[in-house]
Order: sequence, then C-alpha cells, then structure tokens
Amino acid sequence: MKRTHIPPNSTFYNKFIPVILIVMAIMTAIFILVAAGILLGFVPFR
Amino acid sequence: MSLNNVLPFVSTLIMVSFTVFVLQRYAVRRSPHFLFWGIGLAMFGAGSFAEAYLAIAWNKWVFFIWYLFGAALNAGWIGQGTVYLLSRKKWVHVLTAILVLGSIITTVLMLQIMPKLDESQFTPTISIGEQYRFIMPSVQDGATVRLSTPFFNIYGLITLVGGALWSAFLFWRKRVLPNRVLGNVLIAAGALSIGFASTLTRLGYGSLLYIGELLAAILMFAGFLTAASPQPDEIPVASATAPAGD
Repeated sequence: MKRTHIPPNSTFYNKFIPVILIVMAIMTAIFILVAAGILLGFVPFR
Repeated sequence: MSLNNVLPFVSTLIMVSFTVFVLQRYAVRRSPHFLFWGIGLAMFGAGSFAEAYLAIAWNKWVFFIWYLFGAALNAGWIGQGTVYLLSRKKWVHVLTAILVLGSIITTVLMLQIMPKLDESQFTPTISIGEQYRFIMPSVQDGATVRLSTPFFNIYGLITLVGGALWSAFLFWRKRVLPNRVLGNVLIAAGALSIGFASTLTRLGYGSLLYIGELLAAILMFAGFLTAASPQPDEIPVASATAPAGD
C-alpha cells in the first residue's frame, strides 16, 4: 500500500522543520510562563 | 483611511472565509473538532471586526464583543477543537463542560462591568489593544473578567499550538504526509504570531498588532488548507494522531 512520504533528501524537512519545531516549542513555553506570571502576579498586569 | 483601519477588515474577511470553510466540513463530517474550531474562528472573526470598527468609532457593545470574543474566549475554543481531534476520551467532554461554564461566567462578568466602562478614554487613532486598559476598570475596581483572560489564552496556547506542534512532530517522525507536517507548522506559527503581537502591544508597539493578527489569519488558514489538501497516494495513517485538516 502506498504512502506519501517525506522526501529522504529534503533539506527543508530534514533540517529546517526540526529546528522550527524546537524554536516554536520554546516560544510556546515562554508565552505560557509569561501568561502564568501575569495570572500569578509575577509579571505586571497593566 | 490609514493602513491600520484597513488591516483588521482584511483579517476579518480571511477569518470569515476560514470559518465558513471549517463549518462546511463540520456539516459534511459531523466531527466535533470542526464545530469547536468553527466556533472559535467565528469568535476570532468577530473580534477582528470589532477591532476594525473600534479603529473608526466607539460603541460599547462592539467593545464587549472585542473583549469577550477577541481577547478572552476564542483561543480556548479553537484549542478545544484540537483537543477533540487528538482525543475522543470522556475527559475531553469534562474539559468542554469547564470551557462552556467558564465562558458563561466570563460573559456574565463582562456584562457586569459594562456600566463601568470609561468611554471618555477612547481614542480612535490608537488600537483598542493599546487603550482597553484605560477604558475598563482595573481588577481591583471590579473588572474581575480581566483575570479570566489568561486562563483561556494559556489553555488555547497549550492546546492549539501544542497540538499543532505535536501533530507535526508525529508525522515528521513517521516520515509521512509532509503536507500535514507543513500545515501544522503554519498553524502553530499563526497562533504564535498572535501571542507575539499581543506581547509587543503590551510593550508599547501596538501598531504591530494589526499586522500580527493579519499574519496569524493568513498563516492559520494557509496551514489548514495545506494540511487538508489531498495527496496523490495518501492513505489514512491510523497509528498517527490526526492533525489539523483531517
């Protein structure tokens, strides 16, 4: 049965995507911490 | 009419198209994740339209729509769609009940502060995201509704961005369905751009808010269309968690 696969030699999928996933995961964690900080009063809430 | 007057209307048009596209899918497939995405996107669109209106003139009920749907609720509802996509277990229904109850409470709290809005502080030349804190009373003065906003936004961030990143990672790890990898990356990037725009607004760069929201609308819609696009030899991958666009 056929599948649509990620091309094995694709720089975009082999290099760029993993980096962007890690970067966005870190950014998400930072945003969550900032929002939690606002909620808990650690970050000034104007 | 300046660019900042036009951008929110463009965002609104994109979000309306996105909402119609998603709700059409719900009408065909009856999957709850399409319904929650559709409701959340409709809230986003209503918030964008309210923002566009408030860049021209003041209306307290438009402000009500902007804060309730645009600032508070939409991320949580879109994120709940992703939760339904990733899991069909009973605890998801419990989360839905909490979301609905929280949304009702937030609506009541918002209605309670409506008579306390200080519309004399309103200036149409400044984005509503920059000036809403001067129009609404502080938490200490009774605007408890402002405390509820971070809950919805944290929940939306975790579920929408986290869900999209997780789905992208699963398909990337299995080396299948590159359209869904890319689509989910675009959706996550779009949702994060709203977070960036909101944070920059808080730091005093409110002029970037509208372009950030437009970017978010474009990226998320493009991501959804990319993930949903059929591939030539595509088959369902039962073992992988279904991403956006399923």
